[in-house]
Amino acid sequence: MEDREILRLFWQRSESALAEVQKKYGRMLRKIAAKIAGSETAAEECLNDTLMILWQNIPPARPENIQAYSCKVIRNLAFKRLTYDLAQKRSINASVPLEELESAVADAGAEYDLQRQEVLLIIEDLLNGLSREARTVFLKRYYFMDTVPEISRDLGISEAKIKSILVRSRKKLAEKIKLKGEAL
Amino acid sequence: MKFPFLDALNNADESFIEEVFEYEESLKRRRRYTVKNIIGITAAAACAALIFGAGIFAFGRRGLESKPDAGVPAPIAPAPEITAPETTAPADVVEVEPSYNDRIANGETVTVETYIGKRIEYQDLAFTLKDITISPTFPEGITKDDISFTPIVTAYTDDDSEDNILGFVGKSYDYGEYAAEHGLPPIESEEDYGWYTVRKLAVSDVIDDSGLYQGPMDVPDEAYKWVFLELEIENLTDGELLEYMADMELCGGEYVVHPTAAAAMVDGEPVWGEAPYSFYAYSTEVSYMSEHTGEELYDGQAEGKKFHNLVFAPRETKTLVLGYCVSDHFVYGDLFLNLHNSEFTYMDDFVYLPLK
Repeated sequence: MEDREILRLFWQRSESALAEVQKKYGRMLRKIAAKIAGSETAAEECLNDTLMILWQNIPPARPENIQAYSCKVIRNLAFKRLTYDLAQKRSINASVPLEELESAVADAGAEYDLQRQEVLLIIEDLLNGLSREARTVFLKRYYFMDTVPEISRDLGISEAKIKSILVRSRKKLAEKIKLKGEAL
Repeated sequence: MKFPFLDALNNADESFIEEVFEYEESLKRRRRYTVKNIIGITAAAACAALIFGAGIFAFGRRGLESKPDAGVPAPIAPAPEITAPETTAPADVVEVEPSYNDRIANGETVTVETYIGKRIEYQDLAFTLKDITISPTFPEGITKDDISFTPIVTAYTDDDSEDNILGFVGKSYDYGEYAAEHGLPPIESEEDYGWYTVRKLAVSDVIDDSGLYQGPMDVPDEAYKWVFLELEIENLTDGELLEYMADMELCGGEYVVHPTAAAAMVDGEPVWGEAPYSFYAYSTEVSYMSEHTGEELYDGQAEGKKFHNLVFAPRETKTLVLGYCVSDHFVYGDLFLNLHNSEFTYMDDFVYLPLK
């Protein structure tokens, strides 16, 4: 079912909208949540919460892309779950990618205390400046928490090249943060 | 600044995330595509280059027929039939402009861009672009002892000052002298091409037990550096084209250098003049890091210039020696050395035929 039809079901307050979302995107959403929250149980709970949030928010929200919208919701939920329930035994899968970014920033001597909005702008600036391929690799790694082999398989490019893209992207990010920090 | 990126990524514009899904979907569609292009091809030389999954075929008839016999390769025998990948809708088939054939007939080199998995056919030759990646570490079974370093004409420089002539184990050559020594065709005007230097690196100087280049090498930072890997490629068939993309992690693994040149050897001898294949060396991006400080000296894409790393499998051997050149000069270089017939082609002469 197309997203616009699913959206129509939401607006008609038909619960089949949730079933359709689960059917179409459930597997992907569970995978994202599992990687972050660290367990299938947590992932399932996050998915259920995601569906509830979709039901509560649509309407009035009218997301153009339900897949992307759902990803954002479940990602937020999964990280909240990670922080709240699993803070002591953090999911290795989730922390490693983000630690890569933090290490790159630290190695570049760019650990400035930036506001969240400033970091957001930097991230978006970085993403806008990357090639489509590099942007996809970056997001698959740091948004979707995919491993390098997974990215390689999904995009059909070598792991060596992926690592190269990630190294370059992290360096660019660190540079941008450094420039911003020095300007403050 | 704990997990600041988490929040930022979570709140990044959704269009970025949508694009990821679209891109993956487009890649799946592209892999199913097959394009057949009819282009001109020389009797003696054909080149392929790849840009991150794309390929460039350069076909032309220039040079060899007008050059002295030294270095003129034997004609290419027809390649064996290769099964083409699945085809898709006719919209993915690109028609080659008739003018290309005319240009090739007039001795020009025409370049066609293609993608891994695509089939290219012309007259008796048919091949499909493959994808073989050389990992940063040496493949299983390959040890440091398998690596050989061989002198090869490396690069072009537009500054013929003494400082830029690096020499071959301490010796400098101009191209004419090198050509004479190795039986290569002479170039018409040294002034057009400048000096060419030959580099040789000692394995023990640059490769440690882990197989990674460690450096620094005993050359100036602005020098051209080559690292060679000798690999045995299994199941290599005649006419099969290989792409290689190699990102080497140097000096601790935190900086990456893209190879900017490739060459092939046949049984230890340079391929030019001895095998019916040519090599064009390019790099899509070049990052050049100082081995001493790790500082990135140059990083950029040369806008409007495309660089591709490629290797063309010699027909008679399964052994390839791939050269890696670390250089920041190549990015702005306008000349590409055809290692097969020693032809130099200005980049403006290349025509890119997009296949999408």
